Amino acid sequence: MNAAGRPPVDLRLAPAALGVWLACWWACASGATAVATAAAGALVVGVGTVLALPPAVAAARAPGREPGSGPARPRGRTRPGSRGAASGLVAPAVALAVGAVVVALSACAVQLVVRDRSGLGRLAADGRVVTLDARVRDDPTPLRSTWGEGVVLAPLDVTAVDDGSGAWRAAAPVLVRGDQAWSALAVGTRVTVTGRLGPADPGERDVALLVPVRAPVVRAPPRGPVAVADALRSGLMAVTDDLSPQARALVRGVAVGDVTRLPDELGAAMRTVGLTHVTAVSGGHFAIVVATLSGLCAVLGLGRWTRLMVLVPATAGFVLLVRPDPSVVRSAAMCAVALTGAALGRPSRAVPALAASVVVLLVADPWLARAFGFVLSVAATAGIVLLAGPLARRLSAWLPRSLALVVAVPVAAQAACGPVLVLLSPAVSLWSVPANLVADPALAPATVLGVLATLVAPVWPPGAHVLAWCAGCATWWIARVATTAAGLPGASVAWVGGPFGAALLAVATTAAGVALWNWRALAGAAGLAVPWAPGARPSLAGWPWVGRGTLRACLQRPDRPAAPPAPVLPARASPPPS
Amino acid sequence: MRPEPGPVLPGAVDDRSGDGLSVDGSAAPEPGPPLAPGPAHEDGVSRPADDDAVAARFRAGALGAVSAAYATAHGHPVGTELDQPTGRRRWAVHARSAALVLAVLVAVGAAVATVAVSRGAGAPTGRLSAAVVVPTPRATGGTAAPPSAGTTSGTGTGDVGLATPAADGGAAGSILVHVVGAVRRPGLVRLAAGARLEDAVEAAGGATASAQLDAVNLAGVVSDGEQVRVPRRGETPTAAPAGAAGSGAADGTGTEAAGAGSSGASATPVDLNTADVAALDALPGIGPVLAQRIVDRRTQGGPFTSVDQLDEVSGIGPTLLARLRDLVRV
Repeated sequence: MNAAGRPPVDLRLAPAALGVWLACWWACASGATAVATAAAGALVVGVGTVLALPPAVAAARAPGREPGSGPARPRGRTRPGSRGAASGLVAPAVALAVGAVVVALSACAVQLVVRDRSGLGRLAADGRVVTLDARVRDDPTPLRSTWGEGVVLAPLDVTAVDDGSGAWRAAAPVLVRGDQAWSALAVGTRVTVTGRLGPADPGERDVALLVPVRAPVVRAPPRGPVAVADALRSGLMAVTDDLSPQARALVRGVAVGDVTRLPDELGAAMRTVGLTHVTAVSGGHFAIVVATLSGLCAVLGLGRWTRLMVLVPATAGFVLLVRPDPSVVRSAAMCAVALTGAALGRPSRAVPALAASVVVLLVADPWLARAFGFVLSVAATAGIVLLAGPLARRLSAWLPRSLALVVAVPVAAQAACGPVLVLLSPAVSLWSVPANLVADPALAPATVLGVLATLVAPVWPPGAHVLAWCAGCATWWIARVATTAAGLPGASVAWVGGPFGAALLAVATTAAGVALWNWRALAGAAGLAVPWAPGARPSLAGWPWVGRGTLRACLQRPDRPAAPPAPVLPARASPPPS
Repeated sequence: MRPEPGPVLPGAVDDRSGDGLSVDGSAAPEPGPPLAPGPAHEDGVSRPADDDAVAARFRAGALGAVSAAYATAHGHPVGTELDQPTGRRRWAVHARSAALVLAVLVAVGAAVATVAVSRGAGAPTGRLSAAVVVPTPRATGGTAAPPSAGTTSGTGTGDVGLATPAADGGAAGSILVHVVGAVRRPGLVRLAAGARLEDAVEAAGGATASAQLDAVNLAGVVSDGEQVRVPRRGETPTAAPAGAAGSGAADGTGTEAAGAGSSGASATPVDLNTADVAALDALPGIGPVLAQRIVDRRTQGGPFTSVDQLDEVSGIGPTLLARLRDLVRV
C-alpha cells in the first residue's frame, strides 16, 4: 500500500514536540502571569489560524498562487505529493501543534503559580532564614571544586515552610548546599532543615538555594519501594567496595547510576572523548535492560499480557532503582508508549514514540526543557532515529553494509549532540565516534551483569561479588578505551563556545552531511573517478539470522551523555563561608 | 475500530485508526523485529490488521523481542533495512487523530495541574519545630552549666569561678575537683559524684576566716574536673586561670557578686530584640559594624523570632551563628 512498501517517517507529532519544547524552554524562566497570557494568546491565534486555514489551502491548490500567512504554511509545503488531500489535513496539524503548546503552557502556568504560592522565591530574594519540612528528592552529590571541599548539594522537595512568623504548606524544589552530614541522607527521607534562602537562577528547577545553619533533622526514613531501591543500592556499594577504582566507580555507574566514586582523571577522560553516557545509567542502559527482559520473556514463551505484567513493574522498578534522571525518564517514556501500544495491539515506532514522550514529559515537567541530560538524550535519539538509516545507506558506498550501520549510529548521534555538547564545554573531540564504536560492545554485558549483581547482592553477597567482578572486566575495557582515546592527539580540539559555537558546529555538521550526500557530484567536480556505486556492496541478507542478531545486539549504541559534566554548579560555588 | 484500509494516498492520509498517538499501526507497516522469521515481516507490509499479527510478532523469538524492545526504548534503527530507502516524511494529521491526541494531552495536563494544586501550597499549617534540640557539641560552657551540674547551679553559680573542661564526666563514681582560694588546704580533692560545693570546701580543709562564703553558692553541685575558687573578703571573683579557652568563655564568669556592672557581657543570654548596639558589640565575634547591622535588621525586618535568623544579617554565617547560639536568645 505504501508506494514502495516503505514505511513513512511519521513526523505528525514532531511540530507539536518542537513547539512544546520551545514554549516550555521560555516558560520556565518566565512568570506565571506571562505564561498564562501566552497560553491564552496561543489559543486565540491557534483557533483563528485553524478557522482561517481551509480556504487558504484550497486557494493554494491553484497553481502559481503564493499562500498567505499563518504558521501552517511551511508545514503545508513540506508535504509533497499530498496536495489533493491537503485541505482537510493542514488545519488538524496546526490544531495539534498549537493545542499541544497551549496545554503545555497552561500546565506550566499552574505549576508556576503553585511555586509562587509556596512563597520561597520571595523569601529567597530577601535572604530570609526559614525552617522547611522537605523530602530528599535526589541523591545528595558532593560538589567537586577546589574551594568547595566538603560541600554537598542535596535537592529537596519542600512540603512546608516556616518563616518565623507563620507556617504554610508548600510545593517547590529547593537545592541545599550543606556539609557532609547531608551526604548520608537517602532519597525519600523526610527532613526538617533551617537555613538561609538565596535566590536561584531563573529557569532553574529549584526556586531557591538554602544554606543550612543547623544539621538536618530526620523526621522519617524513606518508605516503600524507595527504601527497597536504597537497600539494593547500598548492597551493591558493599559488594563493589574492594574492586579496582575504575570497576568500583563504573559498575556502580552502569548498574545504579552512582558516579560519586568516579576517579577524577577517569571522569575527565570520559568527558573528553564523549563517553559520559556510559559512566552513569542513561537511556542506553535502560534500553539494554528492557531488551534483556523482553528477550527473557520471549524465551519463557510468555503471552502478551503476561509479558506486559512483567515488563511494566520491572521497568518502573528499574527507574526507581537508578533514579529518574532526564535521559532515563525519556527512555522510560518511550518504553511506556511502546508498552501502551502493545496493550492496544498496535506496533510502536520510534519516531512518534519519541515525539509523544517529549510532549507528555514536558507537559508534566516543563523544567526538563532546560535539562541538558534531557536535551542530549532526545537529540541523540532523534539523530539515531532519523539519520542513522540514511547515513548507513550512504556510507555503504564505501563500507560493508554491516559496518556502515554500526558506524552510522554513533555518527548520527554525534552529529545531533555535537552542538549541544559544545554549549557544555567548548571543545570537539575527534575521537568521540571511534571511541564510542570501540567501547560500546562492553556496555551491554557491563549493564546486565551490574544489574544482576545489584539484584543478587542482598540475598547472596558472594555471588553478587563475582557478578560485579565480571561487570568490572567489561567496564575495564570502557575505561581503557576512554583513557587511551583521551591521550591521543586531537582528543579535545578547542571550538567556539556559546550559542554561536553551537550554531557554527551545526552548520559545519550540515555542510558535511550535504557534502556526503552529494559526494558523487563533488567528486566529479574535482575530477575524481567514482569508485563504485552506492548499494553495490554485499547485503546482510545472506548472513545467518543468528549472526545478524548477535551482531546487532552487540553493536547497538546507547545514547549520548546522561549526566552532563557538572556544568553550572561549580560556578555558583561562592567563596568559602566567612 | 479500524476500518478497511482501502486506497489511500501514500504517506499522507492513511491514518484512519483515530489514534494518532505514535502507536498507530496503520501507518507503520514495518515495525516488527527485523529478525522475525518470514510471516511477521510479510504481514507487516500488508498492514497488521488485528491482534493476531501483533501477537505473532510478539512470539517472533527472543532475539526479535530483544531488538524490538531496544528499538522502541532507544530509537535504534534495528528495523531499518538498508535495501529500503526510508519512506517519505509524513506530517499531515487526520482531524480525528488530532482530536484524540489533544484530548489525551488535555487529560494529562489536567492531571498534572490537579496534582500540583492538590499539594495545597500556601495553605496555613502548624508551625514547624524550628527549635529542634540538636545535640551539637558545645564550643565551651562559659555561661551554660554543664549538664551534670543540674538546674540548681544554673546561672547562679557565676560567682564561683568555673572552668569547665569540655568533657565533664563524673556521672558515676568519684569526681576530682580543684579547690583554690580562701580554703585551708587548696588543691585537688576527690569527692563522691553529685557532691555540693560545700563538700568540696570541707574536703579542702574548710574555708578560712577571710573567705567570703556568701559570694559562692555552697549548694551548687560540682562536677568532675572543675576548678572552684572561694573568694576572700573584698576580692572580686576573677576568671579561673585554667584553660577554658573556648570562645565566649571569658565573658561567662560571673560578676554579679561584686556588683561589677562595668562588664557588658553577662552570664544571661543577650536578648536579640532588646539589646542595644553596645550589648551586641560585647558578644564574641561581633564588632560594632555587625552589631549595628543586627539592630538594623531588627528595625527593618521586624523582631527576631529565632536565633537562627541572625544568619540573615550580612556578615554572620553559619560558623559564627553556631558560636553565638548559646549566648543570645529571642
